[in-house]
Amino acid sequence: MSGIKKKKFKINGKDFICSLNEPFLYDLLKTFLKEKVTENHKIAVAVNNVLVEKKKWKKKKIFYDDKIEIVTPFFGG
Amino acid sequence: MESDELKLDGEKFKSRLIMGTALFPNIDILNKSLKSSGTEIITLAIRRLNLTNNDSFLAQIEKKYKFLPNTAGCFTKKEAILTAELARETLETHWIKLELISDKEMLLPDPIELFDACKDLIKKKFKVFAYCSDDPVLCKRLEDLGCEAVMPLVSPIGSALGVRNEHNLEIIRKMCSGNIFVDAGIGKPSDVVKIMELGFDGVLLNSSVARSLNPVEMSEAMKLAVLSGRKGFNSGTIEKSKLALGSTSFKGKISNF
Repeated sequence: MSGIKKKKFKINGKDFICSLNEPFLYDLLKTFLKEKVTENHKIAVAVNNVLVEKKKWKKKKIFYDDKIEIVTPFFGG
Repeated sequence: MESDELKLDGEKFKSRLIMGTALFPNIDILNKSLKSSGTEIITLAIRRLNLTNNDSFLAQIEKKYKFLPNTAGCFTKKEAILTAELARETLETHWIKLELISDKEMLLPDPIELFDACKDLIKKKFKVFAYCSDDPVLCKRLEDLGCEAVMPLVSPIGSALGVRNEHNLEIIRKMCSGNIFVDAGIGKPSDVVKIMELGFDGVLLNSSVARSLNPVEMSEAMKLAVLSGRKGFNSGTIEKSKLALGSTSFKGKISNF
């Protein structure tokens, strides 16, 4: 047993349960996006309705039940 | 001839037609339509990432366009401001087309919430393109607030009802000296000609092209309508008269008999 507890977050309106070594946003994004987070990724992220700039992802601590929105450009008028 | 370029946020644009990117039958038709419209600025939305859809918007759109992200679907100032911030973060632009609607049926802009959100976004250094109702006083107030462009509707979004209150548009153009675009309600190229003849700086349209039978042809028709209306405005249209004013002189006519 690793002793790492599973944590629940709300990502884009749905529950997302995962084990994280470190409770930082960057690690959660990596897990959620299946390691696909790159500098070129055109996404933006809000935690509990507050924008978290890309440069702050590695330092932003996240907590149980945090509400996370991951958005990207889409067709629109 | 004097240059008639559109100026927005210090940049010059040859086209006065801003195109939306929604509702097109497929990506190929969208890209061809954008090309035939001659547009340089396109709008887009900010939506939740869908991991099951590998085709990202940006990967499918030609990179030559200037992006104008919108806050479509927002009902509150809080939602709109967060959407604008997310758009700025992901697209690295401080341009935002601010849409704040009041209801789901008519999708009419909420003027109170909109005005308040504009104030906050301008403070946050956004260049706001404010989608609003065709109330001349509201348009003037939004311009005075410092909006980059004010964008009144002519009828509800996607309705294709065209210009419903031409007099209001005339008053708006008289009261506002900055960039005024018509944003919603356009159905036909003739609507665009009318708007441009009134001296508006441009039009933003989407449904009238995307939902037409032939979007590629229709977008070219809209391009020509913008050019035609603008040239007409710049050339100085003649005044209306309630009496006939014959073009051929009576002088030299053979005698009445």
